[in-house]
Amino acid sequence: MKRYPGTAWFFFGWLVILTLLPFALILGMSVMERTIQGTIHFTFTLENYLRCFHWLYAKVFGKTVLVAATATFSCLLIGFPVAYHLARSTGARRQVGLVLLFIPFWTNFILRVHAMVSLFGNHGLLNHMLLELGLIEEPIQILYTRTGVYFGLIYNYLPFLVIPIFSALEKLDPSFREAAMDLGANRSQTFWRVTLPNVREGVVVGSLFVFIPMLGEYVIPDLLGGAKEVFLGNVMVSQFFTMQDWPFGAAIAGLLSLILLVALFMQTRWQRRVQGVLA
Amino acid sequence: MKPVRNPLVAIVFWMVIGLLYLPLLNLIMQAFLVDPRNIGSGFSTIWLRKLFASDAFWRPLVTSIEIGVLAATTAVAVATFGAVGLSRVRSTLPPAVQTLILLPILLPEVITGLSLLIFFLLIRVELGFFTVVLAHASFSASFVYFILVEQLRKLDPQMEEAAQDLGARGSQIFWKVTFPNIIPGLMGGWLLAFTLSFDDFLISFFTSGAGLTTLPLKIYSMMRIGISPELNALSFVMICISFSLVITLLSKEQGREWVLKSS
Amino acid sequence: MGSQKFITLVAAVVIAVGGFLFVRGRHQSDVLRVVTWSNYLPESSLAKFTQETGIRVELSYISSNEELLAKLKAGVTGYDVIQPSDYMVRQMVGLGMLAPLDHSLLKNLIHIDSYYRDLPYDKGFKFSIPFNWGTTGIAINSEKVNVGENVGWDILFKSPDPKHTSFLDDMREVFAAAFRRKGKSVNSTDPASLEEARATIAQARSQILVFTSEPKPLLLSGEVNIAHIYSVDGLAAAAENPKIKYFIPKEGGVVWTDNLAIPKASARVADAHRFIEFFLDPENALVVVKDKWLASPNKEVVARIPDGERKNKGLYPPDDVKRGLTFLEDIGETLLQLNRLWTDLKSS
Repeated sequence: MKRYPGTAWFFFGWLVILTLLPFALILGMSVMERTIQGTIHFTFTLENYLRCFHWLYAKVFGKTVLVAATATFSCLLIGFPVAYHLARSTGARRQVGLVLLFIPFWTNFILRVHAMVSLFGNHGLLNHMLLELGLIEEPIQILYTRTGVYFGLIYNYLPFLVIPIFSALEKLDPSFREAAMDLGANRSQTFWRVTLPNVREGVVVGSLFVFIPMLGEYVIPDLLGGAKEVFLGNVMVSQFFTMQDWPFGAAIAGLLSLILLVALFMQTRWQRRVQGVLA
Repeated sequence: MKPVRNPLVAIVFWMVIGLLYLPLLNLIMQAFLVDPRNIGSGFSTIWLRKLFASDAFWRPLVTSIEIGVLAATTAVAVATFGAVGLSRVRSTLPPAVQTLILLPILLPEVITGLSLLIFFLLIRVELGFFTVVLAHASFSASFVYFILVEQLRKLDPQMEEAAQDLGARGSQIFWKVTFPNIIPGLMGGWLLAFTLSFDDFLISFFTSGAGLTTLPLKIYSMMRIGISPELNALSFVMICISFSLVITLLSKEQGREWVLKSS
Repeated sequence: MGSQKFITLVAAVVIAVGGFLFVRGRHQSDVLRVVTWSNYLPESSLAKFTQETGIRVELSYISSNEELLAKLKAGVTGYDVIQPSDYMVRQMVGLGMLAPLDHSLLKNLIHIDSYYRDLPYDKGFKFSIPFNWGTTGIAINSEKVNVGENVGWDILFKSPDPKHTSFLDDMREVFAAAFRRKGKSVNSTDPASLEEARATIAQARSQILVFTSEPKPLLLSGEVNIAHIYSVDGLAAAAENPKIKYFIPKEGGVVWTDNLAIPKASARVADAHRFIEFFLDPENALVVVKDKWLASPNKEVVARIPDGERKNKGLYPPDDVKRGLTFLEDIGETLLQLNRLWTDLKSS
C-alpha cells in the first residue's frame, strides 16, 4: 500500500467510483433475476447469459460480427495505404497529412452522422450530382440500407485503424528492407515478406480496437440503416429502455466487455513488441 | 522508412482525405443555401442570422460551455493528482492498475453511458447538469493523465533529485520544479478535455435526462424533428467551433501527438 | 509553497466547483415538481397556476415513458405530478407506484367526456386522468400515391410504393397494425395470430424504406410517401403540406392517451391535486392542446376549439370510427415473445 503516494490513491478512488463501480453494477445486475413487471431480484442466476446464446441472439451476434468484420476489413484496405503514405512521407508533409486526416474526427459524432444523412438523402448532394450528370435516372438509395451502415461505420472508425498501422510502419527499421533488397528481393517481395509481417501486430490490434466498438454501435444502424437491422448494441439498449429488462441488457454488455478483455489481454501480450501502439 | 514510389498510394491517400471532407463541406454549403434541398436556390446568410437570433441556439451553447469548463477543470485536477503521484513510482504499474486507468478509454461508449446512467439512478442523483459534468470529467481524466505522464517522463529526474539534495521537501519540489515544467501539459490537457466534453454525444445522451440540452443533443433532437435549415446552420457553427478547438490544440507544442493518441 | 498551501488550494478548487454544481443542480423543496414532455406545458399556464394558487412549479423533462418508469423504479423521489401514457399507467399501477386520486378535490372532473370514464387501463379515474389523446394511423402524400376511399392497413403491408414507405419503430404498434389487418385484436396473444402477424411484417420488412418513430420530416421532405404514424405527427404534417392526409385505416387502429397522475412517493399530494384540477379547467386545458394536434377528452375544450379542428376526422374521429379503436394493453409474458419475434424480424 505504501508504494503509491496519497495523490495517486485519490486518482484511483476517482476511477473506482466513476468507472469501475458503475461497470461492476452492470456486471452484478447481469447475474440477477428479473420479474415480469421489470423489477430486479437479488437472486444469483446465469439465466441472462444463457439467453444470450439463444439461437435468435446468436443470429444477431453473428450478423453484427459479419457486418463489423466487413467494415473493419474495408477500413483496413483503405487505411493501410493511407498509413503507408503517411509513414513514407517526412517532415512537414507528414504533419499536414496527419492533421488533415484527423480534423474531421474532432467534430462531434452526431454531426458526422447528420452529414452523411444529408449527403446521401434523396435531395442530398450525391444524388443531385449524379442526376445532374445524367448518370442515374432516379435517386439511388444509400440512406436506410446496409450500404449506408457500411459507409457510416467506415467513415467514423477509419482513423482509429490508421494510427496503429502508422505507428508500426514508422518504427519499422529501414535496414530490414534494405537488407532484403540487397539480397535481391524485389519491391513486392520486400513488402510481403518484410514490411507486412513486421506490422502484423499493429494491424491486428488496430483492427480489434475498431471491431469491438462497432459491435456495440447502435446510433449508426438506427439513423443510417433505418432501424431495419439490429446490432448487438441496439438489442442491448432496447433491453434497458423498451423492454425494461435490465439484467438481460446487462448480460449483453457483459459479453461485449468480455470480448474486449480478451482483446486487451492479447494486446498486452504483444505490448513488448508493439510498444506504444495504443497509448 | 525509405520511400517506395508507388503513386497509387498517394492517390488513395488524397482520395480518402477528399471523401472525409466531402460530407462536412456539403453541410457547410447547405447552411448557406436559401433552400437546402435545391442547390440552385442561391446563397444567403438568412439561416445563420435566424439561428443567432434564437434562444434554441444560445442556451445549449452556454450549457455546453459550462459543462466543458467544469468537466475539463475537474478532469485536469484529478489527472494531475494521478500523474504526479504515479510518476514518482519508479517500477512499471501492475496490469490491474494500467487496466483501471485505461478502462474509461477502452470501454465502448454505449457501455460507459449505460453504466453511468444506472449508477446515477441507483444513487438517486437527479440526471442533469451535475451528472453530465461528472460523466465527462470521468472519461477525460484518463486522457489528460496520459498527457501529463508523458510530460513528467520527459522531465529530467536529475532536476528533482538536485532539489531534493538541496533539502527541498516533496511539496516544494512539486511547486518549484515539477509544476512549472508541466504547465504546457496542463493547458493542453484542459483544452483536450474541454474538446472531448464539447463534442460528446453518446455519454451526454445517457446521463443528461431530458431537462438538459447540450449542442450535440440539440443537433440530435433537431435531426429527429426534421432536417431543417436551422439544423444546417447549427451544424456549420458546430464545425467552426470544433475546427478552431482542434487547431488551437494542434498549435500547441506536442499537440499533434495528443490529438493522435487520444483519438 | 508548502504542502499546506497546496492542499488549501486544491480544497478551494474542489469547493468552488462543488459549490457551483450544488447551486446549479439544487432542488428547492418548497416547489411542486412536475415531470413532463418537452414543449408540453406552456410557460404562461404555469405562471397563471402560480399566480392563482401561490404554488411554485418546477418542471423536469423526460423523453420517454420508459425513462420515467426507470427513474421511479430506481427510487428517484420528489416528483409530485407525472404524465404517463396509457400503457405506462397500467404498468405503474401494477407496481404500486401511483397514489389513488381524491375525487373530492377534483371538481372539474365533470368536464371529462364519459367515454373516458372507464378506460381499460384505469377504470373510473382511480389513479390517472386523461389529459389528451390521439390515434395511430397512416399518413399518405396524395400527390405521389393514389389511393381510393376506405383504405385499410394493407396500404402499409402491401404498399404500392414500398420504397417510400415507413413503419413506426415500435414493436407493439407494428404488431397491432398487422393484427388489425386480419381483423384480430391489437392485443392478440395466441400463437396463430402472432405467427400470421410475423409473416405479414417479415414480407413487408425487406421492401419498406425505414423503421422510424419520427416519420414526419421524411414525409415532408418527400423521402416517404406512406407512413405509419401517430395522429399528432400525421396531422401536423398535413397542416404543413395540404397534399398529405392522415387517416385511421378502415379496420380500426390504436388509441392512446397521456395522463396526469401522482406518484405514491409524493409529499405534496394536496398541491398535486390542485395542479391536476387546474389543468382540468376547460380554459387551461384548451391552451395545452391548442395548435398541437392533440385531441382533448374535455367536453368543454372540444366545444371551444375552432370548427376546422373539431370536424377534422383524423383529430376527432366520428363515433363509428372511434368504436374501432383499441388501447394497447398489458400482454404479460407474450411481450417477451413479441420482442423475440421483433428482434428476429429485424435481424433476418
